Amino acid sequence: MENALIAFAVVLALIFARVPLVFAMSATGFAGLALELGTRPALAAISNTVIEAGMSYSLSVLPLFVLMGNFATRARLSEELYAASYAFIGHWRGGLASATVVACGGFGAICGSSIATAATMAKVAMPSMRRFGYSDSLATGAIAAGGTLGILIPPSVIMIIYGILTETSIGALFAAGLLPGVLALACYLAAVRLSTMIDPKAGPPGPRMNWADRLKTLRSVWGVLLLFAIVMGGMYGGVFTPTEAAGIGAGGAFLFALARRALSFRIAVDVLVESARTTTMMFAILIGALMFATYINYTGMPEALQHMVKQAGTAPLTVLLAIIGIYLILGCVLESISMVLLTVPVFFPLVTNLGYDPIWFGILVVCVVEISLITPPVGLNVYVLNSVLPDVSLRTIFRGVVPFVLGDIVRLAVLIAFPAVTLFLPNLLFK
Amino acid sequence: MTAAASQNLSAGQVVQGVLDWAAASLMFLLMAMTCVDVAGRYFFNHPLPGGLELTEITMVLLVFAGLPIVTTAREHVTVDIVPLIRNRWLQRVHLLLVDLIGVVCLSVLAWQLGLRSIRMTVVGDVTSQLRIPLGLMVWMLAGLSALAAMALLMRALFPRWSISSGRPASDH
Repeated sequence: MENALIAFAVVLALIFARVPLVFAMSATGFAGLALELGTRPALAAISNTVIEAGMSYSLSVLPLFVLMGNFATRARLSEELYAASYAFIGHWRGGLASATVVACGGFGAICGSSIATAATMAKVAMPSMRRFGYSDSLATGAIAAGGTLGILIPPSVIMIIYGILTETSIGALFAAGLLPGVLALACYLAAVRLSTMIDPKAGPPGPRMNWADRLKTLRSVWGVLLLFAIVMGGMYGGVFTPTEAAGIGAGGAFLFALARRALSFRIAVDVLVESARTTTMMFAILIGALMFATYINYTGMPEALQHMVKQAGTAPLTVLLAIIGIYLILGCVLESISMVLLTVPVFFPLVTNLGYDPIWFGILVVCVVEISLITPPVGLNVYVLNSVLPDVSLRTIFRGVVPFVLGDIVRLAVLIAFPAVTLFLPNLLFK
Repeated sequence: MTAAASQNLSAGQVVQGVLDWAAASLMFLLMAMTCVDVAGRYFFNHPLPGGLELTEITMVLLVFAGLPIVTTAREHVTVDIVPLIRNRWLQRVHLLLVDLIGVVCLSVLAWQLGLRSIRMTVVGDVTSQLRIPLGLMVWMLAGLSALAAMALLMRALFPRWSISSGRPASDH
């Protein structure tokens, strides 16, 4: 237990010294294993971990969903989503911000990454919010927070990693994300309401559209709906494995982009190269974290923690809330994927041992990761927006995000209090 | 990649171009294979032979093809919330140390994968369906790791040197 804590301290120290996460985690894991077991087994662990993770069929779902999201972005499906939600709710007070949030949710249904969702929607939604005189903080807050829906509404990179790490069904996790996703949307819409109630000038209503125009915009989102239906429907209908669903989704998004003449040969190559690099980056941290987790498991820290909790007789809910508290703190300083990779191997056995549902806990982890994406000092979504919209300061975006974080906390509380919201769909579909 | 059009190509640019093309092709292959496999199974009752192992090999090559470029372009995920030391000289030393940690990690990885590939070749490990030699594949992984280690070492020692042509060496 002490050794494990020292290892965690070393990793964090290295990370803060700007050592890339891969090297920080794998070097520490290797050093730990070498000290405990000797150099030979530790060296053997390196090539084993790399080859096992690199050649795992189930992990091929990651690059494929990344590719699907990138092709969907190029196919400009986001523009139609925004146009449609704008047509329906743009005339509300703060309607454009609300439309942004809804469109983000829709884009999250074909994209598994929050950062990609935020970056895509920023280009689509920001110009019209500017035109209608929305305050920068409300506009960017809505995009940053809406973007986090990318990992809650399936597909989701974080759910895939959690599923593989804990051997929980990825399909069930995806199903479990749907209702919380709808709840999150409702909370964000309430947050927009709240912002415009405090400052009505921040988000004036857009023009009201008639039903004929509304239905016309709805006709153009069929692309998104079709992709989502094939991918998710195929998975829940038991037609596809997650990897197959991801492959078909990527192929479908590719065809869409082709059909819309959004792809030249050069652009297609760019999308492929970009997706490949993202894959390399994700696998690098994945492999580093697996190396580190091998050592942590070897020290027996997860068991020691369980034992400690049992001895102290702490109530399960207290333990869960403590874990969520730890996540919220870690989320302020760590990048999302590595936070999940570093902590889930320790917390997962503890939580399931207390009798909590692994799928439900997975969704809670996704929710805290979402919060971490928009809270200072390293809210990644906020930084992405800042790079897409250099004229809006970080401070402005962080200010705009506040009401949405409140919404997130309400959502988290509801999900903890009523596990059924999360578990209803997976139980219906998978049991 | 645009560099291919210009006349003077450095070795680094050629390597980068080749790796980018390899990564892009592997990525496309991964997608196409999955689609063909599914279509074959449902419409023609005949899945892609050896689809599983092809997917696995494509993926691991894809991951490693990007390694040299992601590493030298400093695109690996790094947390930079703690401000750097002000003193420029100390800053250099700090960043040099950080890079050297990476160089050591990648070198050890290359060395271990190299050993492993020799073992696999001696035993004659092949995949079960298509009998693809695994030793050869792991040898490629070792080579790519070694390339990443060398390129990062160059970057560390000569900050202005860059394997990537498209992206100027950024100092962050």
